[in-house]
Amino acid sequence: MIDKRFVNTVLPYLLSVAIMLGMWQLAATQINPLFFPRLETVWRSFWVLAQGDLASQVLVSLTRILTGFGIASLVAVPIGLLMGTIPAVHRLLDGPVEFFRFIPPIAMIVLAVAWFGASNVAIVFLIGFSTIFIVTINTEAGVLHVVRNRIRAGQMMGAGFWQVFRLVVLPSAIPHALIGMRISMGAAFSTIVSAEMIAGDNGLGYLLQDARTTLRTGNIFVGIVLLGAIGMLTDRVFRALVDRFGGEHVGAR
Amino acid sequence: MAVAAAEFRGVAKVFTGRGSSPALEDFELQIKEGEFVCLLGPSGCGKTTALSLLAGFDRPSSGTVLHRGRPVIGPGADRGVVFQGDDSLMPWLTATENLLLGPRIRKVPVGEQRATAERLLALVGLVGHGNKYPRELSGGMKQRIQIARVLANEPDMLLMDEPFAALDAQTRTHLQDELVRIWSQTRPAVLFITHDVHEALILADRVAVMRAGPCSAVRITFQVDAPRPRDRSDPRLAADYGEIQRVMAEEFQRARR
Repeated sequence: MIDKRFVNTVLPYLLSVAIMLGMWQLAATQINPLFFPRLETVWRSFWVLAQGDLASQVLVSLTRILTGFGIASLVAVPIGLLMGTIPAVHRLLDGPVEFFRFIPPIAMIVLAVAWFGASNVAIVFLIGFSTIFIVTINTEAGVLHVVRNRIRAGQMMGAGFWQVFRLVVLPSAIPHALIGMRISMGAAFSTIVSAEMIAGDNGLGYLLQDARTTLRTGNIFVGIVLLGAIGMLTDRVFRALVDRFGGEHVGAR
Repeated sequence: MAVAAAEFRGVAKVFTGRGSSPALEDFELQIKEGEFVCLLGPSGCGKTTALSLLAGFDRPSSGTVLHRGRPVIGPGADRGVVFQGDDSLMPWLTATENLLLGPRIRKVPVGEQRATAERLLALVGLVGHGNKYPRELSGGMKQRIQIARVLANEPDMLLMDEPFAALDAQTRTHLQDELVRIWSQTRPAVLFITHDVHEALILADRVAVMRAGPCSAVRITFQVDAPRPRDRSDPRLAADYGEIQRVMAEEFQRARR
């Protein structure tokens, strides 16, 4: 007897992981192992790194990501709310936001190092740079998409400007802000690698860079797999927190 | 003479945007205290525009809109609006929280709010559904919540914009009867928009029929004298129905031209 829930939920996940690993191993038999090592080689590399300071490297990267992401979100959400609510603020900031969001954080690395040195500050700045515009734009979109009849409903129940903002606009915009934060989390993960490659002397990006110069392909694969896994995990935790503390807001639409 | 609950005096409303479209012109209507008025007309004739002006969501281009003798300057809890669709309920709030939004805005003490919620859920027949979210409620239930959340503010006017139009016939009939029952208890003045002549005759003290737009206004009003609760097969209603339907048909024809 196979449990139906198992077939519908867990099985597809296991299957996709199995297929990916299978394809990997198949590819590894066809390609020079120096460029595409077998699973067991990567596992061995992982084991060696794990004996060393891998955990602290991961922690360093994760801390930088969460710091930059957190600070940028704390700034971006209020700015997005203001831009969506007050037309003058929109006109003031829309240009800069639309301008800067097209500049990839990687393009800012050299500048960041020049301004802040090859330091944590430079890396956190770059993470923040990759987060702030996405969250701002999504938050503003959330405000602009508030259902008009909900605003009118608030007004006809006697709500003034700030009450409408607090009771109607804010709860409507929160799901959009959270979507922006989820998207920018992905951007933060892609930025951390290039930032640490150039401006860091530790972290996952540095690990990749170090593996490149010493041609330890196994380590590169360990770094890549870890980035994907940690990114996925972070997203899951983020979503769980959202469901726990604001599930009704998010399911709202 | 007593001051009317609401009065439109020579009201015009022109929407400007891409070109200008005159919706209302020389619109006149009076609603007495405690009176139930249905505003009938072909779609696009400006019924909702008139209601929005009285609600305070919009300003007239010229003329005056009065509520209890005072010009309307904006929305307020004294004029409760029941919207056509169900998108005006807050989906992140439960039924109870939705209907307590007005009291919360007015900072009514929590204990009092609880009593209000219980009373209103009972009044609109939703006892036991208070903890559900709008998406868990049927269309009819959502309109009941809309009515309840307006009543929570004890308005002296109800403005209802085709509140039952999207419901199935059975539910609509039932809610019409419920509305009459609720209205008889509190007796606010009502402006009820519909394009359904039957609905107007079951509900209204007076039926105002609008001309086809643009530049629309009330063409004629009918007094409905049949006693309440009304029987849908009452022959007096049938006679009124014929007359109103004839005017509606003419306006419908004009609207198509």
